[in-house]
Amino acid sequence: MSFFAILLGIFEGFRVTFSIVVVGLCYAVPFAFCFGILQYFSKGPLYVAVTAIIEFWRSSPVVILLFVFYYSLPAFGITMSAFTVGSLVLGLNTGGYASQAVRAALQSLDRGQYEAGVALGLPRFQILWSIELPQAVVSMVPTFINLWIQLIKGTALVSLITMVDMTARAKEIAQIEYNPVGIYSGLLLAYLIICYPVTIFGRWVEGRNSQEKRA
Amino acid sequence: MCSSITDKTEVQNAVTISELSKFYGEFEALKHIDLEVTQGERVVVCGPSGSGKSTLIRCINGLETFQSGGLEIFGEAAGGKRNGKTDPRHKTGMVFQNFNLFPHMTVLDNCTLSPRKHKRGTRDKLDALALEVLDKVKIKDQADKYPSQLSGGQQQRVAIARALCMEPEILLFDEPTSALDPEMINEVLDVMVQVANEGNTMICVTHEMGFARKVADRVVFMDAGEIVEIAKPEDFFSTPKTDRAAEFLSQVL
Ligand SMILES: Nc1ncnc2c1ncn2[C@@H]1O[C@H](COP(=O)(O)OP(=O)(O)OP(=O)(O)O)[C@@H](O)[C@H]1O
Ligand SMILES: [Mg+2]
Repeated sequence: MSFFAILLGIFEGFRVTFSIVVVGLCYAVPFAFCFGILQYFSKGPLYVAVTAIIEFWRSSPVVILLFVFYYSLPAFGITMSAFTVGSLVLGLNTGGYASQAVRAALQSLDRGQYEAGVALGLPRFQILWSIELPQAVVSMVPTFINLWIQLIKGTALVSLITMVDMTARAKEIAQIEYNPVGIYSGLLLAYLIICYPVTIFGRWVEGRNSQEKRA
Repeated sequence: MCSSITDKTEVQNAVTISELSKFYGEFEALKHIDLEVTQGERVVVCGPSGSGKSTLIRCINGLETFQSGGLEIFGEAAGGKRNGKTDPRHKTGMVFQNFNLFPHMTVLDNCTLSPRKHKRGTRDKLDALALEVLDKVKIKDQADKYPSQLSGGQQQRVAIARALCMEPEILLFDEPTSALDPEMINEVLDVMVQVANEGNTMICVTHEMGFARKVADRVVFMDAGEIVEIAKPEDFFSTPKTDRAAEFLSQVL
C-alpha cells in the first residue's frame, strides 16, 4: 500500500471524526455560554450547583466518561448510541473548559462598562448582550480555537467505543498490513490536515478583531 | 446650613436627598446627607479625596445602594436599589471620570444605544438626533470612528453626547476632566459650560474651580462623608465659612 493509499484509507473515517466534532461543538458552545454566564451571575447555592456541573465535565478523564456513558449507563436502562456518547462527552468536556473562558472574559471586563450600561438605563440582560458579550467574545477567541483543536484531537478516543473514525481506520489498516511507520505517520498527518485550517481560521478571526478596533 | 439658598421656592426639586446614609460594611461613607437641588440648578461638589463625592453621585443614579434615608427624583422616591424602568433614576445621565465608552461601537452607536434600546424612534431618526448632539459637542465629524481612535478630550465629549442623547433631566458628572491631559481639559469644560447654559440640571463633582465660578449656582463642600458647607461660589471661594473648607481651598487653589 502506498502512503497515499494509506492516507485515503484513513480518511474513510473522516466522516465520523468530522461529525463528532461538529455535533460536539453543538454541545460545547451552548454549554460554555450558558454555564459560563450562569457562573458569572450566580451566587450561593446556584453558584455551587453550576460550578459542580462544570467541574464534573471539565475534570473527569474523557476516556472514563466515554466508558461510563457507553458501557455502564445501559445497566441503569439508559442506552445511547456510540455517536451520541462520543459527541456528548467530548462536547461537554470541551464546553466545561470553554465555560471558564467565557466567565473569565466577562469578569475581566472593566467594571465601568457595566456601570455605563446601568447609567444609560439599560436592563441587565441588555447590558450583557450589547455591551459585555461582544467585548468578551473577542478575548475568548484564542481559547475557543485552542479548545476546538483539542476537541478534534480528542475524537481519536471514540475509537475505544466502537466508532470507526480516522484512528480506528488506521488500526484496521494496521491489521491488514504491517507498516507502523507509514500508517501512524499518515494518521498524524490526517489530524494535522483537519486541525490546521482551524488554526488559520482562528488567526483570521483574531486579525479581523484587532483590525476592527483600529479601522 | 444645608437648605437651599436660592429662594425660587416655586421651582420643583429635581433631587431631594434627606438623611441619606451609606455604608461600605462598617465604614460610613455618607453620613446623614441632606441636599436639595432644584430644577435647572447647577451644583458643583468638591472636597478632599475619599470624602464621598463619587459615592454621593453614584447613589443618586443608583450605581450604589444606600442603607437609610431618602432620595427623591422630581418628587418620586427612589429606593436604595435601582429598579428597572419604573425607577425615577432613568431621568439621570452620567459622565464618568474614565469616559467608559463602549470600545466595540462607533461614536454614533455609543450615542444611540440607549435611545435605540428604549425604542425612542427609528434608527434614522435617532442617528439624526445623535448627530445633532455630536455637532453640539463639536465632534460630529468623528461619528463613524471607534473610541480608541479619539483623544481623551474627544472621548469625554462623546461621553457627554452619549449622556445627552438619553435626554436626561439631570446630568451627573464625576470628575470628568481628572483623567485628561491638561491641554484637553478646556475643550471638555467648554462643552460643559455650554451644556450648563442650556438650562440643564447638573450635579458635577470637579476640582475645576474656574468652571465652578463660571457656572455653579452653589458649591457643595464635602469632607469625611458629610456635607460641611454649601455656598454660592463667590462666597465659598473668597470667604469659606468652615476651617475645613478653607484648608481644602488653600490646597487646590
Ligand atoms: N466599593 C467600596 N468599598 C469600600 N469602600 C469604598 C468603596 N468605594 C468607596 N469606598 C470608600 O468610601 C469613601 C468615599 O469614597 P469616594 O470614592 O466617594 O470618595 P471621593 O470623594 O469620590 O474621592 P476621590 O476624590 O478620590 O474620587 C472612601 O473612604 C473610600 O475608601
Ligand atoms: Mg471620586
